Amino acid sequence: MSLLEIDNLSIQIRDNRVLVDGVSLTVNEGEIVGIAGESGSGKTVTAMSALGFLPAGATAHGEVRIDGVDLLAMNPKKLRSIRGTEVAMVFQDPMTSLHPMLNIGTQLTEHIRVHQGLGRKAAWARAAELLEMVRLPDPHSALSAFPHRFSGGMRQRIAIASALACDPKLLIADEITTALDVTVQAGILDLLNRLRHETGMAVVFITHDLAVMNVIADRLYVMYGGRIAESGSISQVLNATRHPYTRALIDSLPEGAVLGQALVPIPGEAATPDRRPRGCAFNPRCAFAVDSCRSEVPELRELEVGHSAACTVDPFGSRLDRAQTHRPALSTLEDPHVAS
Amino acid sequence: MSLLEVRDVVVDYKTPGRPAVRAVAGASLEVGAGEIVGLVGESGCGKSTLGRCIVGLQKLSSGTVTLNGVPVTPVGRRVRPQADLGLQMVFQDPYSSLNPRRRIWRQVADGLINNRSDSTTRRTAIELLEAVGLSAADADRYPHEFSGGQRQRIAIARALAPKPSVIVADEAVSALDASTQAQVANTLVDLARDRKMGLLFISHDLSVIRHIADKVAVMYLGRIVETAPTASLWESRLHPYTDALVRAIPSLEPNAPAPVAPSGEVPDPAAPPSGCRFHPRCPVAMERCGTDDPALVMIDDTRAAACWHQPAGGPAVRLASLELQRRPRFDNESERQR
Repeated sequence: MSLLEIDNLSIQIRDNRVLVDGVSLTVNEGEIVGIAGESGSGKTVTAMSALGFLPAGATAHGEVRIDGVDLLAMNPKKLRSIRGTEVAMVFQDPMTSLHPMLNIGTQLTEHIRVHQGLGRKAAWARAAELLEMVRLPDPHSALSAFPHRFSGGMRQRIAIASALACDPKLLIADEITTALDVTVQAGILDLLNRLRHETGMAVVFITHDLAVMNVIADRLYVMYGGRIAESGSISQVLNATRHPYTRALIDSLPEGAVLGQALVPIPGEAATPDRRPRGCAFNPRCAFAVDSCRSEVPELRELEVGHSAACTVDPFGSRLDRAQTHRPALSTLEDPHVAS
Repeated sequence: MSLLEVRDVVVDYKTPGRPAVRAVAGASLEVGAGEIVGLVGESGCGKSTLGRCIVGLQKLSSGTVTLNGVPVTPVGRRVRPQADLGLQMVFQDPYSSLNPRRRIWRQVADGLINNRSDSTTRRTAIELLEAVGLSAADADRYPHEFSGGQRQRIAIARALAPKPSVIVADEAVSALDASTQAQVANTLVDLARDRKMGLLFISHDLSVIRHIADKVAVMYLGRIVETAPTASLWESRLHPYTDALVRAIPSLEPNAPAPVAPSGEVPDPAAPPSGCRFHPRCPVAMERCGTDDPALVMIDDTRAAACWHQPAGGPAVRLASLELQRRPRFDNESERQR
């Protein structure tokens, strides 16, 4: 049994708009699992369900199990006891996730006292210990300081310390390095990696930056239009890519492109819950789309052990050997309509 | 003489009762016609302040900014001199830089020098929207009907309206999704090349700059510490700070090494370190670095650096050769090796 098991989860809001459509995902203990995708792909909504949070007025089908217990069927009181202790979360913007008018100590000790029942002094000592764990310089004086004293990277460390307070088994990290400088990002990635080795905590890491995924995640789920487009180990997804969307995403990155050549953007606009094409949601932007892509929603099929993709055309399947040695750009492949 | 020249710009932010913060401490820069210059640095290094100085949104404490040899007047209550319209800016957040209650063609038309409500104005605005990849059908829409990338295009169209000779793009793609970043960055590059405009592309993301810029200027705590043609910067770095920036970028290569964070935090700009401003974090700092402040000097024909390891006029010293003399590294590195 995995630590987190999301089983065929669908989330709808008003007007029957579907945010997440039949997503299944597992996270094992001590594993860093990435969820990648553009804005509106449903990655945050999926991850939030692991805390039992759904968007306002949403209805959900499927199961979200932590240690085998379904969160969607749980009463609110029980859910509250799980949030923060079993599963904790760190948000994107460290400037807004801390209260500007309370000192760090007050903010860090509040849930330590509630969840672990420690006294004021013991909680304060535990908070200092946490700040030490995330390598904040001078943790004791930091506790009595206010958030404005700290830089973005230091605030994000404090936010991580706060999430670690009750030794969660699973940490949801939603774009936690997106707002930070690369130099600070490198430090946070290093910290997360160290924490999971030291504490055995699992991490769901959400970002649209595949280069960050490459250095931090063990396994990766790529989402598009509320569904999983491709999943597998990090090297399966990034080095033996099978889904045209993943391929296009890699090619659009400055890190993936050839130096001196123009970047290759994905044509068109990303699908959103308001504007989701029929059939495969990616078909209007896909260089390989055939007629059936416009009518049928492709199933997520397992292609190799642990590696799945939802594409009926599978344009890179026959070229797997080549794809493994170097990643061909879309333009270097033959006419997809002939190939399929 | 270059199109845009920035000479020894100093900007102090003064708050009553506090020491002045020197956000820019003597920065010089040139941008030629059709040239794309990337300005890169961490947050708080003064790159945005420098960008705002160039377009006149921020008063200089000392130094000069000239466009075609004419000094740029800071924006005030009076009508801007016609010549200063040649400098336009694209801001980071396309959600707050457009008015949500006005049709987009009218906002683009705001930038036109002869802005009258007639059909010519509308036609010109539509032409500008088409130049950035939007269509005539979009002209009567409101900003909320567009995605972030499209909004940034609208902001670019507005900046193009007065036919500028230099565009300053301050983190113009940073708030966008990875795939949209490429679209908007390509649009800016194509426009700069086609219209022979200079483009100063300010970003914290060296990997984007690497792709679009001809020349890169690296800024640290108010100073420009290295300038170089983009290709040679990627091959080897002259300043240890630039090297630290490059090593912190995560890579897409299979089995890529983990990105390395430079030791320490960015110091408070109100109390910068003595000597070279990077010396407390520098892996190859010498005794001299703590006392003497190095000036930005030309190392060879195209590259300049402000580092005591690099003698003026060259030959350039490879940072790798200094590696052997590195002092004990920061603790997270020993952690990784364990």
